[in-house]
Amino acid sequence: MDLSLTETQEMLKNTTRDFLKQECPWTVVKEVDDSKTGFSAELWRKTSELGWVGMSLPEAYGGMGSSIQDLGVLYEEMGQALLPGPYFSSPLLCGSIILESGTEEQKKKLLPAIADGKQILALALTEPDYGWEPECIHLSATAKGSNFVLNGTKRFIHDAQIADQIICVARTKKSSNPADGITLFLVDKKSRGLSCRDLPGFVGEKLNEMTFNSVEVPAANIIGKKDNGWSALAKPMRITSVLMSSYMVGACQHLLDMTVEYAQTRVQFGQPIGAFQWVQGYIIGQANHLEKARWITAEALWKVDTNKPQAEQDEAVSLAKSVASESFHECGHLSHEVHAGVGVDKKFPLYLYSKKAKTLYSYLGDPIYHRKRVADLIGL
Amino acid sequence: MDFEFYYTKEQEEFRKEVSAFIEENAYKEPIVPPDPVQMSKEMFIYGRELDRKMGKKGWFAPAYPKQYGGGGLDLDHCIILAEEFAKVSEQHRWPGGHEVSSIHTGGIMSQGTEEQKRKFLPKLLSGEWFGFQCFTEPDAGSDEASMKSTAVRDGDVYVINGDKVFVGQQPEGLRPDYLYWPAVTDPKAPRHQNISAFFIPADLPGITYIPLNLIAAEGQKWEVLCEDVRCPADRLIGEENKGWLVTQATLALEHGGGGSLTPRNKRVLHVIDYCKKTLRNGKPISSNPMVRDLLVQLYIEAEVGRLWGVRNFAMSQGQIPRIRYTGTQISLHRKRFSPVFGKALMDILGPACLIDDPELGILLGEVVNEVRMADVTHIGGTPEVQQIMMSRAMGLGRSATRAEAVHK
Repeated sequence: MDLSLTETQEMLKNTTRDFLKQECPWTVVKEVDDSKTGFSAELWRKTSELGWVGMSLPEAYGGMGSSIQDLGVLYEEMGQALLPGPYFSSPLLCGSIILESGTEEQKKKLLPAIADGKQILALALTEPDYGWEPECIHLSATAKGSNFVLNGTKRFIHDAQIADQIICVARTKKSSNPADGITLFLVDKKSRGLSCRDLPGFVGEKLNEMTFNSVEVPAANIIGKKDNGWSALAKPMRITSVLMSSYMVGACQHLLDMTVEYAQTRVQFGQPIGAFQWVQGYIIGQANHLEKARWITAEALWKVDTNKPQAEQDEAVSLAKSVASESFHECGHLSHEVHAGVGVDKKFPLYLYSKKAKTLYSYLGDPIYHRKRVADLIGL
Repeated sequence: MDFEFYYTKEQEEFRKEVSAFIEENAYKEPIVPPDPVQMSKEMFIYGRELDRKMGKKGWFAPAYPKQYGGGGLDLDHCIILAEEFAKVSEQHRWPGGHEVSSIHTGGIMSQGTEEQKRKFLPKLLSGEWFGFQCFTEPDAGSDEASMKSTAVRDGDVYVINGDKVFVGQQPEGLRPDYLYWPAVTDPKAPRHQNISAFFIPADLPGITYIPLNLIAAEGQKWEVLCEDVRCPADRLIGEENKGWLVTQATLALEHGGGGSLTPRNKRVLHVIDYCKKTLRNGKPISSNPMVRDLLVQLYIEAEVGRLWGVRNFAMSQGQIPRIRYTGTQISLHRKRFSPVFGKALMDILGPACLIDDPELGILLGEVVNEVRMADVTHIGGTPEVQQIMMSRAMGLGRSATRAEAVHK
């Protein structure tokens, strides 16, 4: 057993932190949050050039072939800074789907473009019947000549507003087993009949609604096997969920650090508010949430990295996502308790974190969903 | 990071030796009560015998130096010992393991003279002596420094007076070997600089033992009175008026700062297993979706406890940077989890969780013991005290330098 970071990981951590301090202070996060697209092309380009976008993809397809634990270090630092951008959608979710299930031609054509950030892909999975289980997939795809026609609605889709292409999870067959009959389609965002609007609200990143009104997609754009798309999602979801947990751990750490600092410097009743035991209790709560998420996630990263049996990986990842979602949300809330008025003022960064926490809470499955998966996996 | 434990061939050989020793000495049946209050005098005496047997092999306090009666064993061996003895304890077959005396060594180790180390440590680290940690008083609980016990020097003895409560863990009809007793030796000195620590021989005249009748407390607890007890002066631990440092060193060990490599909370796993196997209306208890979710929440907390033990261990080995509050954090987690667990048992099992009947008591009484313990979170310091300690370690409410000083 050795829980130390490798020399490379230490270096990656430091250079990432330095870069983000310089290039992505919270004022930049705020600008992106206020913008129409919710996207900074400049940050995306710079981080692509640094190799961050392609880190998870193999060298043969223009990536860096880094290990999941290395990526964990990177994504944790991203979370510290709350770096905005399609870092989950494009390389992790869509990149892994193509890598795991695409044809050689699809891989050669798409992966290098994803890796260097030239192409942005988004995954359209959830629908008005919101959920991350196969029974929630209703959007229909019916064969018409050499094409398929897609009809239906996808809702709460991250990064679709800036994506060039969409991987759409569609139903090609009705079956007693809901996981059977799902197919993944690569859809050009400019396709006829496809519309996309972002949903206004108290959101930490854009959530879009996509309407598929008889959108024709060539059969050649199917990724993986027809009707077998659900199983193709397993590994990409696993990788993305655990790295999202890392991102949330980083954000929790930042929330704790900024709250400790505030409690040490904010004076009321003639003393720093950190002297009050109620305030101390909130901050200890944050430290507990942070450390829970940190170590559950660390072990999950290791289990995925060392390719433990699939059920063991799934259990670890679901534990991580459920705990990290809770932790991020609670750390945000507890920060608000301590910051009070200042915390709700947009002149201060806290709201960006707590809004993000609420948005990532249910992304890729909320804590109840993941606890249910754990229950299944431990045979309850 | 690598969470895997790799065992060398030598470790596996050692495991065989340990396991053979255990099989030779353990009860064949699971008859050790989960609630130590129910342990009989005979069983306790046998447990103490086992402690001494372990001591002879150097396994009672394996990591401590050999010259002081410890095992002088390296980490590889300590891990195997911890794993094997955890297994048999969890099977309710091993009444030994009264480690309380080995944590009393903290004060002697850090504050005692060389002579004291040679005199007392071998008794404590070999399992030979068993003592009561007499810290709490009726009017000095969390605020230990406000104790009223006094010790007045009179020639070559200290005359000790005082009243300690909630101490020890020993069935009625038995006496400990010593009382680990801090008392005020300089009433005029400031707090923390007025206390001295003693190892009082437990059979001196003037000592009265009163058994306490508690709902639960990790064993039979006692009130101990000292009335003009003449304690030999060579039983003073460390220097006069430096007793606060002695007791704090003990508490640091008690609160688990060193980390541990223990498996998951076994009691949670037992309950999960029970709910899978036990049918109500022909269906497993665990098939109820609400119950399933509660069980997974318990499982998560058990995982957290295990992983924080691993984390603290990695910190103690210098693998990851040290965070000052992590020892207390584990203790706090245990204390906050206990009532959550107890409540969940009521939700999941209903009145059956309250029953201690030899036939109907769930999991040999483990469950009802957990329900009792849910309201006993103060042992070794209330959760609130843990929070205060954590806050100080985080530098809250006082300057960072002061926080450093307190935790040196």
